[in-house]
Amino acid sequence: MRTLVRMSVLLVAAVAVAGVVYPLVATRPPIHCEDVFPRQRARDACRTRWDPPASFRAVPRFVFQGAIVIAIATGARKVLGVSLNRRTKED
Amino acid sequence: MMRVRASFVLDASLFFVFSGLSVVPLTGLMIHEWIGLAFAWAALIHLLLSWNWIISTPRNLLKSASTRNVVNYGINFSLFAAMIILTLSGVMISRHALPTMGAHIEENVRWVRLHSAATNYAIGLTGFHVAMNWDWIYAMLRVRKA
Repeated sequence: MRTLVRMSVLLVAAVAVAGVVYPLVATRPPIHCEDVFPRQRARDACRTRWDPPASFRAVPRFVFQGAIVIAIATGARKVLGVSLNRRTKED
Repeated sequence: MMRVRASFVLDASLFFVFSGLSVVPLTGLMIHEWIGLAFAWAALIHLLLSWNWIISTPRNLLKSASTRNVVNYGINFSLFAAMIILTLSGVMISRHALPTMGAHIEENVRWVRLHSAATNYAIGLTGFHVAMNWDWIYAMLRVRKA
């Protein structure tokens, strides 16, 4: 019961955030993928089909993506200072 | 201790799945969409496991605001907002998951752009989120090694 109440609170908070963003985008006239990307790139930019070789090629990017997060974390520790990284009793 | 370990496993999984979701060609769009929806629910569980902190911190901020808590709360709230925007925009540009559930939304590339921008913000904010909890992550890794 308590978990359900907590989930409801989080969902209400999520709807509140979405309620701010949604009207900003959805009320404006739609633009289409092919309108945005040049014709020769549209096939790549708008494609939805799963391509196993593309998956294989994406593995280094997956590792790189994780490394970016760790790099940001490492940099942030230095910039924010060690004191900010130490948990207090309040945490 | 069991709960802390479960929390750590969930958090580590969220990190790897988020990295995977950031690279759409890795899974293809269809799997990306379904994993993305599952990720949103897993993130909800992550928040439920941190519920005491979410509730108690604003009270502590009113009483005695430590710089760390203010920064941490700001980062966490921004990350929450970024994840909501990511999920919402992801649903709005869904080409597989939503039509499978019987919903059809007119294509609008503005949602694609928002999805892309929110991803970039979320990657940065996840980095800050990891930075703020680095000591806990490090401690958990040491416990698991021992």
